[in-house]
Amino acid sequence: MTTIPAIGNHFDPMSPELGADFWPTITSIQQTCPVLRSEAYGGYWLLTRYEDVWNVVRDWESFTSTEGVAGIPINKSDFRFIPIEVDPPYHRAVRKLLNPYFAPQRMPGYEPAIRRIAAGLVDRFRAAGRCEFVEDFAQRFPAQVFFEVVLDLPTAELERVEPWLHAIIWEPNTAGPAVADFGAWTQEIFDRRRREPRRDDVLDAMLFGEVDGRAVTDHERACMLTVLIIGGIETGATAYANLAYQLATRPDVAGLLRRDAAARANAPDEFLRFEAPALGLARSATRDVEIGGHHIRKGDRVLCYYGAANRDPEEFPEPERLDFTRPGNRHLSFGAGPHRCIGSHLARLEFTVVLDELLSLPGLRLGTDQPIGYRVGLHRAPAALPLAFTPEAGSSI
Amino acid sequence: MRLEVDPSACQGHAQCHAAAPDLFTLDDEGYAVVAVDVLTADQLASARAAVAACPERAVALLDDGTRAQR
Repeated sequence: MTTIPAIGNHFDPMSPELGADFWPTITSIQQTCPVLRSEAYGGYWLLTRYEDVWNVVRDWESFTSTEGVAGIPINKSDFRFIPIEVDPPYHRAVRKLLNPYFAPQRMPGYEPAIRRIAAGLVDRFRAAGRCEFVEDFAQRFPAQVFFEVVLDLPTAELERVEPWLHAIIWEPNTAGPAVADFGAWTQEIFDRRRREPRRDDVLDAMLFGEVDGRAVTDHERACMLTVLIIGGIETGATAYANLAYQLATRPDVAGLLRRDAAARANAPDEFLRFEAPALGLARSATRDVEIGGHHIRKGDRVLCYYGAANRDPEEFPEPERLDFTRPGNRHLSFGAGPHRCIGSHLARLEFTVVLDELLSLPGLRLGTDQPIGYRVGLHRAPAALPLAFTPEAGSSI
Repeated sequence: MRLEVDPSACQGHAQCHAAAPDLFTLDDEGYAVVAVDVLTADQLASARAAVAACPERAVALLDDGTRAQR
């Protein structure tokens, strides 16, 4: 067991004290101690190498998700995010039910509404030449898309779920009550939907579909809808806020993406690699196993730190560079293995739409001289992002 | 050269299809089906991208029945 003297043995990647040193610290840990033992949160191993994270998330038999993945402490409640916190073969049966609604062939049908929602939000501030991007766009866009387009639910319901979503993402280790409230809300939603005309969407699939040849239970439904909403909303909000920050502070990158179609096509994946929205998710070892010369014991918690894996120079040469020509960008922002993000096709489509909107704002830059403060939890994103640009009337191209 | 999808490994992530939409179709549940029997030379780059894109390593590129590349 080694420790980095400056890091100590209670390293907490979610500590706000890391501040602007966040990425340099993560990089330093990857270089010096890529299998780092920390006694924070009851004790866990921080994995920052691409190869180690890639191996662990695919080896579900050795590294189970059933003790919880969102948050390092073991999940001792009855609630499990389904399918993210269950193992195969049951996991596969649940994915089989849900996959069709997130499959690539569904995306063209969603696209017009997604573009309409994005343009509508930007049109509210386009003529002003300024906005607070987190509140005016990043928090709203993926939420409206997910509720309106994917779930076919009234966006008024968003106001109720938002506090729970924020607790789960930004205070994951104490979010038990929020998760319980969220579960109760889903019950209401399903009761209401059950009385409505049938439609071919994911909520109806959860109500009327089957898993392993039998009906989905109320409890399962609550667990599924909760995690779909978290994944569908919060990760996007983080991704788009981070994207906007990068474009506002790198006019050369914005310029390149405006004129180079190939770079633009690769941009969503490169931005996602650069700043993984879900920085790391946990597993429990089901047996003793060696990783990088360290002895992981059965029952130990392991944090698969995607954010660091995405900056591993052994997989991504010059990882600190935004490079839109990387061949086969196999970033881990969507994870890998059986739990790989079900929403990746929707995410990429949304990202493309947001990129188009941001690049349509002339002279995009930060709207403040003050340093941008970051929130850190399961994600890391600007708490507020004032932007400025040349004012323009009318809707986007 | 031809492509092969291991059906027991395929989890329906559909990344192969995203990388090479001409070479794969997806069934109604999103599981991959190889759409082309024999690959032409200009399809090989896409085929390799699809192999690399699979999060489960379920896609293989084969040369007359032997495993050429994973």
